[in-house]
Amino acid sequence: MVSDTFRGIALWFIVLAALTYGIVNTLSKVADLFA
Amino acid sequence: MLSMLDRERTVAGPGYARWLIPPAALAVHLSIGQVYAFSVFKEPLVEHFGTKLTPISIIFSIAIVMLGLSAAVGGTWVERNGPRKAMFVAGCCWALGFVVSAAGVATDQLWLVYLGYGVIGGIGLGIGYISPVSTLIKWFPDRPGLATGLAIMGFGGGALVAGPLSDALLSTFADNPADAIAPAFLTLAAIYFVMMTLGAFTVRLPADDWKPEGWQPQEKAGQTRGNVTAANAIRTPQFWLLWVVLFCNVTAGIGILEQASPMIQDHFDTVTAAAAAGFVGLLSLCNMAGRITWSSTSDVVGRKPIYMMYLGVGAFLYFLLASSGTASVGWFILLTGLILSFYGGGFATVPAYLKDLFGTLQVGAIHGRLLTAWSAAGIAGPLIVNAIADAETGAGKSGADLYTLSLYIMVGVLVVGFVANLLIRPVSDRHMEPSEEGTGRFRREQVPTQQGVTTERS
Repeated sequence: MVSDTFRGIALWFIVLAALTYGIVNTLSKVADLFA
Repeated sequence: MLSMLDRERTVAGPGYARWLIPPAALAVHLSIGQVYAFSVFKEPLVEHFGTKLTPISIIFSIAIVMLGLSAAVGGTWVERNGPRKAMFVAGCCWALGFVVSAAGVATDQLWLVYLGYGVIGGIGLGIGYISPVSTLIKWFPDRPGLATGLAIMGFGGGALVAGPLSDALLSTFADNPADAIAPAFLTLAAIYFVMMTLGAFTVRLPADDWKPEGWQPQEKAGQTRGNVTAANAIRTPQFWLLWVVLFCNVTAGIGILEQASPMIQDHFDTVTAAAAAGFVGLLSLCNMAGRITWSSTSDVVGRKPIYMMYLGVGAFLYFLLASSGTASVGWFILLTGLILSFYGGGFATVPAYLKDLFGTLQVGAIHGRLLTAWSAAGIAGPLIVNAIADAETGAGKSGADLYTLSLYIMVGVLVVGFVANLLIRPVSDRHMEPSEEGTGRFRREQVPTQQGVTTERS
């Protein structure tokens, strides 16, 4: 059984990675606005 | 197996780290936030079904209406059954919605997409949106704005993740995006089901007598120390004033959000379609950043003052946009970015405002009922901007002139919200739940005053 702590920390990494993916992709589009 | 989802099985033991809870909430909100990126599928769906944009746009509208309805109707169920079961049910509905929609696309049955993404997925949206809110407020009674801001920031961030992800899926499964919709939907169903189930099995409730180590509730202006049930809350003027506040704030923000791309191109001839897409992305970032920044700030400055800023400063910014928005692209972006940050902040701060007014007993259920303001604003905001733009076009106007009247109307809408917020006072004792001992006194907590003297307030 996976411990709550391990699952919680793993989930922090997953959601932060997903958010980073979204923000980096959006910023690349924003660059067009100021090009 | 299913008993693992019961509320009683989710209560955390002593020493449980509360910072393990926000990622569970974020996992759910990042998943359901995909709804704001639904536009990625619009053109492929139009081409696949050989129809116009309006029948496809109805899918999104059904989902948002179902979000409001299911949050309002299911709020009490969520409170009674706890966050784990609610998140799991939300995950099942959200994933099933994609699966049914994929079947609709594969068999060329548009009504199945309405039923799948719109109705079933919409129920997942509503249940998922409210499921972690009251749990976070119970874990972070010292910083409820930060906690709910973190989760609801995820809803804003969900679109940022789903947009490029959906684009990638559509270009991976077929040469023509219209032929890749069904496998893309099935892939998203699998990803979101795993994410939301992980969140469901990570979330935990604090024990009834739990509080952060060393923390004592402090008496603050405007905070209610008792508890009000959802049934009683909707009988108070405070609930309906806050409904008006949320409605006005969302109406104003959604008016810009929905028309962002054509609006900046109509204001400035130099802005290309690609640059306008960047502008939409920037507004999404401002929306997301506003959720965590302003909601956390409300823990320090108070809920009522921060809504004064959202609505009062927001009205002033709208006035500047209407009167001087064409001055330069940078000025236009600055004004709209700030307005969208207030829009996001309004969403994220409202659960903490409800907690201040009605206590934590059924704050999730009350929040669910309040979200009907979102559904109403989702219709009113775009209607105002689109109808006026069409009328102005008919009158021979063009460019920025198409939006001037709408922007001044939004100033008025925000002023109405500002006045409603001004009128909000602490909830009367007669709406509070009586004490369990039946002594006739209200259920209130032992709280120290600012001077540290413990008093029982009733």
